[in-house]
Amino acid sequence: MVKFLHTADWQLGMTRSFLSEEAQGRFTQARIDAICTMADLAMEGGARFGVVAGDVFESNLLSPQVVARSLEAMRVSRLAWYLLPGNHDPLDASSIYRQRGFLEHKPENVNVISDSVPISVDPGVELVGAPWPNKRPLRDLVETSLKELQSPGETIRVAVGHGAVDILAPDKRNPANICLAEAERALEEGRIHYLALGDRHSSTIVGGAGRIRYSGAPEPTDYDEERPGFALLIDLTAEKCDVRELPLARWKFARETFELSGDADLPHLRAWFDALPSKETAIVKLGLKGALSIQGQVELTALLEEQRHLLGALEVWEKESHLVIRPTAADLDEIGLTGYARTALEDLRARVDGGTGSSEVVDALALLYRLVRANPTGTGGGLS
Amino acid sequence: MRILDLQLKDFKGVADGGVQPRPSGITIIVGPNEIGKSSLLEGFDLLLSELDSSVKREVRESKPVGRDEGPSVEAEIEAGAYRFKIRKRWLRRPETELRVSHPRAEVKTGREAHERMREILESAVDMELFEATRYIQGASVGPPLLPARGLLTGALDKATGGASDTEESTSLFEAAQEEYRKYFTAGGKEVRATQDLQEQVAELEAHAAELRAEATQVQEEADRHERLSGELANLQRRLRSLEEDQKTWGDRLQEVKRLEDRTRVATAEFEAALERHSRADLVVKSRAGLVREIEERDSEVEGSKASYEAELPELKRAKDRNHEAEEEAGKAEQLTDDAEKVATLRKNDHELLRLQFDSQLLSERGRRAERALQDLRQAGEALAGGGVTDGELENLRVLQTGLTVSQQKLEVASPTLTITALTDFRPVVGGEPIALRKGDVHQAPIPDSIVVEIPTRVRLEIRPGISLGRLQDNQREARSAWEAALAKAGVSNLSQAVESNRSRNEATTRKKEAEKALRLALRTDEPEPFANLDELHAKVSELQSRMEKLRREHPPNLPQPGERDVAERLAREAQQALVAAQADLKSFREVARRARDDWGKRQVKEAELRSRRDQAIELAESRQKVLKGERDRTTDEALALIVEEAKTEAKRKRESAEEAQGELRKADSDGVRTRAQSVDAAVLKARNGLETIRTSLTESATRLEIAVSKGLYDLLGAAQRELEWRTGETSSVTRRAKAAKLLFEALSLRRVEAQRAYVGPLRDQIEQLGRLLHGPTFKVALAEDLSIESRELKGIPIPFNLLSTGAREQLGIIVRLASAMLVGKDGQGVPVIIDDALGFSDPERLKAMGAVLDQAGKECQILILTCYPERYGAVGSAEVLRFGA
Repeated sequence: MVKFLHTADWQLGMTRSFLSEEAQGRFTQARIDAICTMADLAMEGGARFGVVAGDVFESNLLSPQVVARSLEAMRVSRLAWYLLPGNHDPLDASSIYRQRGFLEHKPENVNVISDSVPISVDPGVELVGAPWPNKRPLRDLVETSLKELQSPGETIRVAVGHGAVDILAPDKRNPANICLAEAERALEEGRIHYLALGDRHSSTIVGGAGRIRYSGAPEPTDYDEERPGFALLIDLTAEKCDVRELPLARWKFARETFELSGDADLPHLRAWFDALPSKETAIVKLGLKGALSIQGQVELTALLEEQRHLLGALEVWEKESHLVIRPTAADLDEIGLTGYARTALEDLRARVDGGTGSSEVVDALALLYRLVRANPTGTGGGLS
Repeated sequence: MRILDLQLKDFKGVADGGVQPRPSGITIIVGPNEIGKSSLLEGFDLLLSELDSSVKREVRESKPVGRDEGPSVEAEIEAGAYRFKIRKRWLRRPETELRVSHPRAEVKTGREAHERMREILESAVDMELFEATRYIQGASVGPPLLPARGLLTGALDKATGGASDTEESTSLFEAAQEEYRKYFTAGGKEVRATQDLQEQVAELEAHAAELRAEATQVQEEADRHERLSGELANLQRRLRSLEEDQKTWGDRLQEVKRLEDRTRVATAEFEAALERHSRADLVVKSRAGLVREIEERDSEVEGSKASYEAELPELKRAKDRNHEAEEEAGKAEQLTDDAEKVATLRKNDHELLRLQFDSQLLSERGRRAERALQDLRQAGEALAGGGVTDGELENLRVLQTGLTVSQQKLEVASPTLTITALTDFRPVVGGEPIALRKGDVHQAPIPDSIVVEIPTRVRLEIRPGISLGRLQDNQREARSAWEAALAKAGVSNLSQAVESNRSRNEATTRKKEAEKALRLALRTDEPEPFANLDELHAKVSELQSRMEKLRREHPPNLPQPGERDVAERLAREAQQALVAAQADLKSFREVARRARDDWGKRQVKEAELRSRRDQAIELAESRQKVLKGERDRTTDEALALIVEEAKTEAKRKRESAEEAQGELRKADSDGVRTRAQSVDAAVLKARNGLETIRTSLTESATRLEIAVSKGLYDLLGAAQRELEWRTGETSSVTRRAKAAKLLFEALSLRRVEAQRAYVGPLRDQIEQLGRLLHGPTFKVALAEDLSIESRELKGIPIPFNLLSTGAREQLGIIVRLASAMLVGKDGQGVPVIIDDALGFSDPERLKAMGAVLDQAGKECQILILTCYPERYGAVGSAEVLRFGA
């Protein structure tokens, strides 16, 4: 029996352009903090070592600071780590694992799986890795690493791979896809007892044996990830494989579409924002549809600006957004202009109503509305 | 805006100078033509518009003439809430300095200062109105084109006071304008901040693109490294395979080399045997040749001996002939010698007799010469004593005759004083005192006059009838010549002269005869004369010596002929005998010479034949000796045996060589060698390729190490973030700017229409000023764009362009003043600058314009530049500044 931690896709050093500099700092630090968190949980659960099934680093071209801080976190965690180079950090000539910054800071408890030679990690336990030699391998690396292996006898053997399993891969013709059938055959023949996979950021069971799994990323990286934010504590024998998901995620990606049928729906949007927990670690992408008055548009703009300050990031979901601004009689009444200003206002409104108005005209009307509201004196909200 | 101070330095013709206009009211700047008043305006314009780095024509033309200095301008300006000093210098050591004192202190330099100044002006000053209100004589005869928006229209809005529109509209317009001015300048251009944002986005895009390209390059380098690593492994495998091939073909090549060595040895042995056989064969042939040669030599010996023997009798005969001829020639020679001796003897005898004759003749001539010389000496001595020549004698005779004639002429012609003393007395005659005794007669000729004085008694002056002076002179001259000739001839009278002449002529004759005798004796007229007597004597001596010699040589026993003709005949006969003997001798000598030549030739031929015979004998003996020596060493039979053995050995060696060559051919030496070389080359090439790849790998690894250390991913992430944020910000600003512009334009459009209704305030202001000039009936009609359409006086409208130049000028100034007064009420006005105007106005109008200016000056700053200060004498409130004084 062996207990170990299965994790993958840390993608340390990842940047997101929609994050502000301040948010980016927190986003990066959260990924580094997750190392110690999952190590603590794993060791509490009796894990002897941890395997990171690829994409430990976001890129081979990271700054030395990111590498040094990441290794420091691994050192502090005290768990024995086995790192597998993946498609983000392949073991090519520019590999981060061969760079001076990595080699000089690499602590004793960190090991790089640089080939497919079985590694004895504990008495009766060995690892077989399928590291990525470059960014575009032209074969199934897992199958290649396993096909020559014989049954290890009493030894528990854990295979570590990275990439898409063929049944889940979007590109079925990719020669680097991992052949599930071959992996399951290796399990059946007792050549391996568990296949720890990385690349898919959601925690996923593959096949029917329950011994092939994607651990998912410890922190989410995009909106379309289903179950990110876990590491797996594996309790493995030849006969059984118990898995416990360790929740880790501190950041959240949220993508929502709202239908605003009028200014009256704006409070619902505000309520949704209010319900979001830990806004400072939330990254939101909004799609807005429907129609608003000029006043409503002004309020919406103010709401979004307010939330932008609170959230980790707020993006507009362009393809899901189609919001129409229509000046209403109420708008005009509220402004209460007279003289040539009133005439100019009606000119602009006519362009919107006549369909020749663009978003610029709407913006001009909104500006007019804002200028009037900014100087509310006299009767009818007019200007003095 | 108000101009508080304006200073120029090194600007065109102004070295250093400026003005400090009144902050409000009228300032008249007075100065004569070309003092630089217009430079003040030009400098002010450049100060506001041109960067200090500008080299535009206007800037270059502002450089002072004849001085290498950069023009500089400094001004203090009040604009809205701002008050600042701006100073610029162009061309040389360009600089800009801005010092803002209100509302808060700022100091900026360089481009930043310029841009800040423009920002202030654009925010606080309607620069279009400032330009429009300036009046420059000759260029501005007309009303200004007032701007459609800005301070003036704002002022007009206010001036309408809601009569033509709402306060809300005005306030909103101002707010919209304020919003518009956040993004656009008064001229409608984007503000610097927007441009900066766009430039930043462009720069960030370029930076991100560079980083992406660099990251791509790193990946490409990594791929290259991997490819090279693969190539390295492949090449290493190939090299190992090639090295195995190299060993295989190396072994085969060694076998081939062994066979080649064996073949070479066998071939060499065959060639050596063949050589030996050839040499033996050659020896046999050589010996046979030697035998044949000896036979030929023996035959030659016999031939040469026969030739020699045949020549010997001929040689003897020639020798004998030579001996006989020599003897005959010797005899003839003796006979010739004898004849020659006789001939010489006879010739000497004849010569002796001839010399005797000549000697006697010469001795006689010597004696005659001696006598002639003696005569010559005597005649010479006589001539040396002098004597009168024939010429001199003739001359004396002529002179004596002349003297006698002149004397006689004088005596015949001259009177004579004759004094006969009757008593003793002492008269003075001709100044000479003479003493006369009684009876004495004293005569004296009277040449011209003569004075006879008896002292104390009488003084007589006697004059002849005619003058005797010339006769007396002739007589004196004749006497002088006579006496001189006598003296020269050395005689005292004519008789002596005649005698002397005779003696002289005799001596001369003797001398000539002696000279002739001497010449004959010495033969001076002949070809070989004697120079003198001594030479003649010497010749005689020589002849005698030769005679003595001939006598001594004559044999004593032979008689000498006594006569010259006998001697001559004997000599001639002896000579003829000698000639005949000499002819015989010549003939005998020729015969002897021929015999001697023939004998010599025979001797040479005999020597040649003898030598040829001896050589043939010697050569034949030598060759026989050689043949004998060879046969002593190897007999002819032994030699034949050696040849046979060598032939057999050569055959055997040839068979061995052919066998070795056959084996070598089977081994395909060329093919094996080619393959071995090919494999060697391939190995070398593979090793070189391996080295090249290793070098490339090292270089690639180095490049990668450098590239990955930059942290490109982080840099790119930061750049993209910055780009995204800046792009968003730019997009947002652009959108807000468009909205602001759209709103402002929509409001402006409607506002212009409204303004048509509020041209009234401007018209009122113009008419208020105009009535000061034209009286209460003055009116103007303004167009919607605030331009003047017509002027009306006493109900009669006249289109503006039909007004007189003076009227248009006055109205143009009034419109400018009215505009400035309207905006000046808000404290945001612009100064009205009038450069040399009112040149077309009569004195009355000038006074009235003075009142107009006074009125306007209460509400705005007016600067008047003029060289005719009297035009503005009626402007009572003006402050006059002298510029350039």
